[in-house]
Amino acid sequence: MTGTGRAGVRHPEVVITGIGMVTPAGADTATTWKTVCAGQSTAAADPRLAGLAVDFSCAVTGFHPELVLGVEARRMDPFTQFAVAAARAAVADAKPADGCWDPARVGVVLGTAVGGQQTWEEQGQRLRDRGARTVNPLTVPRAISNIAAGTVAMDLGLHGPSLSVATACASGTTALGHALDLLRAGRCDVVLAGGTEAISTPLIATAFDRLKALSRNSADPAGASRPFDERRDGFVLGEGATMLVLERAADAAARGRRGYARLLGYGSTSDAYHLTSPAPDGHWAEVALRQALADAGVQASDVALVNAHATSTPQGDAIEARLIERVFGQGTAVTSTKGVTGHLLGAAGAIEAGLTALSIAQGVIPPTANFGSADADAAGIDIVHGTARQAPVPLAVSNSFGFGGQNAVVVLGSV
Amino acid sequence: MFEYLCTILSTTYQVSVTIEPTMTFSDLELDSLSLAELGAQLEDDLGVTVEEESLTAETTVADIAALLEAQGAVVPA
Repeated sequence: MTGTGRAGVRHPEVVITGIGMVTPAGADTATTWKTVCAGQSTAAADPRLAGLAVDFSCAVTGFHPELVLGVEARRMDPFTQFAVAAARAAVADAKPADGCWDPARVGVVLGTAVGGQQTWEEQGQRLRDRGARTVNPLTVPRAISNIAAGTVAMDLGLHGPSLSVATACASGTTALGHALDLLRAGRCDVVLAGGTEAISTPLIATAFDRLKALSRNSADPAGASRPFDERRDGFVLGEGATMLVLERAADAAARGRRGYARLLGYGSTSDAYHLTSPAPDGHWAEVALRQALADAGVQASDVALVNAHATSTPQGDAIEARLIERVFGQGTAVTSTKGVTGHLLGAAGAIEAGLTALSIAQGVIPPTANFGSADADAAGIDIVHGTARQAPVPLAVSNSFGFGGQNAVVVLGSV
Repeated sequence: MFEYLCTILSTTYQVSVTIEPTMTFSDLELDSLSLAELGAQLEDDLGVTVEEESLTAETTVADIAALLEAQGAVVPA
């Protein structure tokens, strides 16, 4: 089981054998998938943001950390709680027999854009309002950005490399790319890879709003996240985590598992252009996409689905739409699941890769929620909207683009 | 106060043995991180001051109960 990728180099194939999700669309994978396929936006008024200019978000509901994680939950920022719950679910889904994985050969690669933001903000408030003695002594270990990956390893007793990657909104996809490299190079036998984020906090919501990045559609939160739609006015904050269990296809087959999809290729570039704006010509994003296709050893014309990064910002969606049209033309279906989930920043690439794997496994393409009509930039691509589309998806791409011009793309294919 | 301490030690800090007043936090297997957390929690919940040196691995549950009572701490309802 090898694939021919980059420059004819043969790599062992890698498959996704477990998916764990805690997202605004559901506290588990099945509920998330159902909500995403129904195209139901999850954006609603958020009491944590009450009184702010943007007072709504896509929040995780129905997740009870103490019930899932026990008393140890108190030592975890929500970004860690989401990650640990998703990691446990992913491993349970992968169904390893007792002792079939050597813990020293199981790695964790976890993307997060921000880290334990809620903890930093709460403890900063305590320091200002009530003095140094009230600051929780566990503030640093709760909040540092590597601690979600570290805690996943601790929780599951994994002793392989445990890495945190930060490429802003591309972090989840970057994590998958590095996991792929670890498996291809034989450094790990199994990698839990994904992303986590918990950034629905007063400071983050205010700061993104000051940057004019968020939708201000408080009158209709459910209509606020509308990727590619001509009336889009910014993204909606989401939160949650997705973890995927990745292993070499031969190892999975040896234990009787085919997996949901193959992780075939990865590409990554930097715009080297601007602090927040993607380069208007989308050149380096396109290079990342073409790298990923070459790494997978496939042609653009064979790709049936693009799960777009499209966050519902005027500029970002337009640049990506033109890029998709250049590379794929009209023949490839495009969806942005952020219409339902909002933008999970460092977890976005992970949830979208997980959803793309489910599209491949089930032959269902979720609709882009709230998409009504495209502007000129997006008129040349086939945006799935309204209802989910039944269609075979043998090959798909998931794009992620981050602040700082960090681009990451993965290619997935059927098993 | 002793009963209150027993309750939080067995729930939040997962102490599973039967707690006796003469037991030290070392006996209860609370590590230094947990002791720091416990001190902060007591200050938060009871409005008292718990200096680092009065809450160590050698401190007994009775010692800390007495310290809290001496500061007029009232068990939260």
